[in-house]
Amino acid sequence: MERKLALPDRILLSVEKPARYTGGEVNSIMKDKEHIAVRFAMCFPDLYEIGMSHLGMQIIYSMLNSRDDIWCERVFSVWPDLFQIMKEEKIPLFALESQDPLKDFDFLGITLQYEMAYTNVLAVLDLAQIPIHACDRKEEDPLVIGGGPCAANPEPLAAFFDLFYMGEGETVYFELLDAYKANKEANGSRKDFLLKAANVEGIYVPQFYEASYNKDGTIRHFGPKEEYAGLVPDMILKQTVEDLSETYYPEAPVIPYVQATQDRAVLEVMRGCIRGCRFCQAGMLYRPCRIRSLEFLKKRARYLIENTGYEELSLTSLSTSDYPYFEELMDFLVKEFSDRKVNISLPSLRIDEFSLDVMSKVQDVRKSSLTFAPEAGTQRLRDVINKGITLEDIMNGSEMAFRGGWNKVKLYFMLGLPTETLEDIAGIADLSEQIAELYYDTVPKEERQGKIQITVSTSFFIPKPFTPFQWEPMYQPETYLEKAGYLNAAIKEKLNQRSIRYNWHDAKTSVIEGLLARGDRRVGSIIEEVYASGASFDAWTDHFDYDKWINAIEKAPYGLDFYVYRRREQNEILPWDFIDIGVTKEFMKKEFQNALQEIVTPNCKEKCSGCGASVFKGGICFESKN
Amino acid sequence: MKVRIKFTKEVSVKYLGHLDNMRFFQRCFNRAGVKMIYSEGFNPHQKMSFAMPLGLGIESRGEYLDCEIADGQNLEEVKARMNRVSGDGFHILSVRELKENATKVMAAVRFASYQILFDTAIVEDAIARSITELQSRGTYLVHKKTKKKEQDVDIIPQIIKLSYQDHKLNLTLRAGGDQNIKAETVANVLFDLMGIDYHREKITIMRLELFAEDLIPLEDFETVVK
Repeated sequence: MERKLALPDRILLSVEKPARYTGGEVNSIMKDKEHIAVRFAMCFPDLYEIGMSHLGMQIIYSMLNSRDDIWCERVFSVWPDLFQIMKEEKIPLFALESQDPLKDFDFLGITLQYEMAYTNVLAVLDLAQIPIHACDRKEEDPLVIGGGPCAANPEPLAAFFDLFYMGEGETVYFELLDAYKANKEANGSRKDFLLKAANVEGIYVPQFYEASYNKDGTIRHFGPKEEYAGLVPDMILKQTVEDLSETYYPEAPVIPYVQATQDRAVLEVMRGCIRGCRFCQAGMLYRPCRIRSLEFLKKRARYLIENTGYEELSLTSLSTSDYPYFEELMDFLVKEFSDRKVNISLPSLRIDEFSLDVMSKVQDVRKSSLTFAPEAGTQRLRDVINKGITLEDIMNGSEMAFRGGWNKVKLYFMLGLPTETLEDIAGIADLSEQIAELYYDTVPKEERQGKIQITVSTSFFIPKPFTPFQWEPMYQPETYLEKAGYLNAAIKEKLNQRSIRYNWHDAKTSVIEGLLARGDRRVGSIIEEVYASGASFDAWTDHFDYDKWINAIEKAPYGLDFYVYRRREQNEILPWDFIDIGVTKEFMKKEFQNALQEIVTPNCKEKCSGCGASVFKGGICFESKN
Repeated sequence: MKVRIKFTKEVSVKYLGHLDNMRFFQRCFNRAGVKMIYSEGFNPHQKMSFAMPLGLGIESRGEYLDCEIADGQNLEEVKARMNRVSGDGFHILSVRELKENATKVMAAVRFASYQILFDTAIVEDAIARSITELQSRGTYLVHKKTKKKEQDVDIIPQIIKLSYQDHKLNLTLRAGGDQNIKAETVANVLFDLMGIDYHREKITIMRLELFAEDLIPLEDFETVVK
């Protein structure tokens, strides 16, 4: 059956990379819509190349499509060139597979991977001709459901979504869609369904809840509206897959024709992280750390390569070195794929003798670089953030790597961390210089492949919900730039400054990300205002327009001073307090105290610190007790 | 063994650029389990070359690529396996072994044939008259701009064959040399002669075949016939 494209030649030939919008990729799934009970459009609100690099979307896609009565299709943001044409010609946004308008679907699922995509969320709804506010949607409009890590604080987007799914998508989607089917068969209304959905574990229906505020703008009370009290839960429990070796995994992912940013097969070896870095939201949200079995991974690796033809397989997780069967897995992969010309790429590795040995087997040493993420320049500050990497680890790892032929080092740090002093910032320059000197001490002149190349990158620390630093203030953009300037000057004073390249993130973007990350319901109107003034693709440096944000914030009752630059009281009701991620607020408070006292908390493998994630009955919480 | 693959590029894959095509074939070979010969060096890659670029939005039933595969593979089976794992619109039409020292595929191209379909809203007579008019001209100069130079090219000697019926124009043009013109250029000229503004959406273009010298289709040129 030939697919009819939503856009005519005339339009497709006038925009950049039209194949972003035509679908039909190898392994994409076509079904007969006449025999489908639930049509689900899964959206990644950014460009095709970015969204197609995302594993989570491929997992949900293959999981939902494993059912004959459900058809899950994909949709992405359209680039401004096409956006303008579609708006002018009133062409509604469509899904790639069927090319049918999103407004014909039962569900529009939007994954929220980063805050700077929020204006794109509104652009998707707007272009799809779906009312932007959930309260304006009619019976025939799709149900808009949000998920992904940013849904951990859904409140800034509460007005725009009918539902949010808290946590990992593998658990209750079928229960939710079956409830939808049953409601449709029983001729139930949209509202009937939403009430049922609100009682599916992990599902949050924002329109049934409300907040009241104190005079100072902080939340006085948050909970179900009076008429829904007792009908919907007070707390929403985050969803977690108990056994990652008994679940869905895409064995034949869709292969993009247009080159995706991550253009390779992806094997997720585990989820969560045993290390409790105090700034890291993912480290808390995905607790407990759970591994996939070696057998599961071997089988999936084979399928992936056979079904895609990719020549690269990337192992992913928050910290791949912590995978307990890493050595066995690498042995298998190297044996299995070496004669098939499949490269193995290994992000998130701790640098030690073993990982260097592995890397030298699977990568071209001369081209690849070593990556360290000390995050802070001094041991004191690394203890504050609980980053369990020491100067010794970095120096030993570097020395081994230099002997192995590497001469490119990438270092990642954050500026503006809690308790940071100028000394900590200068420490970044000192560390970089020490590594450079180590190279010249380690590698004899005649063996050197040119100069050492050190790249230092700093981002600005952004406090995120559900981390021990969730109460902390941020700095003004000018202060961030002063910090970056101070570091830049410190690096310039070093002997090997010519070997050290320094780049830093945009401070203004960081401040806006901070606003969206910890905003409450009232921030929704700011997002709407910014979108109305023409903002989109804020995650793209060239498209981000700070002035538009400032203009919108000025019209709102509470702005950056309240949401970003203010230190929150520990007893303040936070907008995300009604979500239960397993890890308790008490634990966060304790961890914050430990941070101030520079006390390191052991990782989950060494010792259980009683964070609360053991309620999920899986992963490291139970393995370590066996 | 060097082989020549003839394939189609129809429907939505007509929007893919050259690099997208290459990636598609690289992965298609892998999925089909075709044993490829890789280049030497630090960054081994499959050896693959395409005959002649096809403009974005143009379909084809006569695309070609040459590549090198390991000896001893049954070519009919290679073709069948590739078609099983191919994408919508890419269909492998033939896989043939090349004779030793065969001309490189890009250098072998001499002619290309196309079918241009005119929008049915355009009056049949007008098209027919513009074609007769073009054929009556001894020369017809068009201005051609490339990255390197600008020049006036006479399109009449570039047109080898031309036939028209029912909004369908079949064209065979010289190809491969620096004098070559696009099928779209001829369409453009016909619109000029009709006195109608040219828009790309008023026509659809399909490449039908690529030929070597003496109008031998590339699949029959210097290939081993079993």
